[in-house]
Amino acid sequence: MTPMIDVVFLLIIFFLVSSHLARQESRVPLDLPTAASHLPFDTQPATLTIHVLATGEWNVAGEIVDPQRLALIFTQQQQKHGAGAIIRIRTDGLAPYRRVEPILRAAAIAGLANISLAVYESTTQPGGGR
Amino acid sequence: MRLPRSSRGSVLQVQMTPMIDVVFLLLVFFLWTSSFEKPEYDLPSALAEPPAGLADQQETPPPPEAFDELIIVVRQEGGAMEMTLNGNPVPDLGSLQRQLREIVQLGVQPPVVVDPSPETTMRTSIQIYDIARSAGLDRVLFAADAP
Repeated sequence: MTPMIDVVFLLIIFFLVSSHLARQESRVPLDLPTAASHLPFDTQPATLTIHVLATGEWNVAGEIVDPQRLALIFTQQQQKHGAGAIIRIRTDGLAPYRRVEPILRAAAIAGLANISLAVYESTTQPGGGR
Repeated sequence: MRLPRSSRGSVLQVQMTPMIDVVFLLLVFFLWTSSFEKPEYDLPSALAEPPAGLADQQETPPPPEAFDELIIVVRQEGGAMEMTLNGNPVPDLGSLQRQLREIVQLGVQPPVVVDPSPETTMRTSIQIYDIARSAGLDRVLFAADAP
């Protein structure tokens, strides 16, 4: 009996862990653009992450925000963390630029200059060869 | 653990159960510690407001001075993409990269402003931004219309 119980317990733990991990996937799935000239991998977490969905909606901390709310969030971030606050924009590759431009502008107006765009590493050279 | 039938039978009996225990344990451990997500990197971004002449893309931009500022206007409608570098049309991404590299090889570092049209996708915008950065230019900015 003992080996069977061992294995059964392990399977129980395995499924518990995997279901727990599946629930942790609270990140917005986005198909990020790719770039070759990105910065080296940085473990410093961003102060604020804004997700731009393919439909063009802005998602901050799980809620859809409008421009007024975003401006307020930026002002609060600026007061809390100063001008060095890192704003990270995760944008879907299919989102149009007109939905990202207001974020950049609002951040600049709020005095936040440290903006970074999340990208995947590209496997090929930009421009398709030299 | 009680060993089954160890007193009789062959001496070289392989004990499978402890091995399976350990293998399962290792499997669970690596599943726990591994992440299945692709790593995401940061691309630094900055913003420039375009000069008044370029705010409206229908107007022809004023003739720019040599290496004062490089303005890449990108217009994407449907699947087609048009690019102009300081008013001169650029046929494709490869020639844009070549032109930018030639400029860098002259030993100048003009600021580059990438001005995508509103409907341009972020994939294309970032691709062009990336080309400019890869060409060796260190001041690459995105354009935004003045509020």
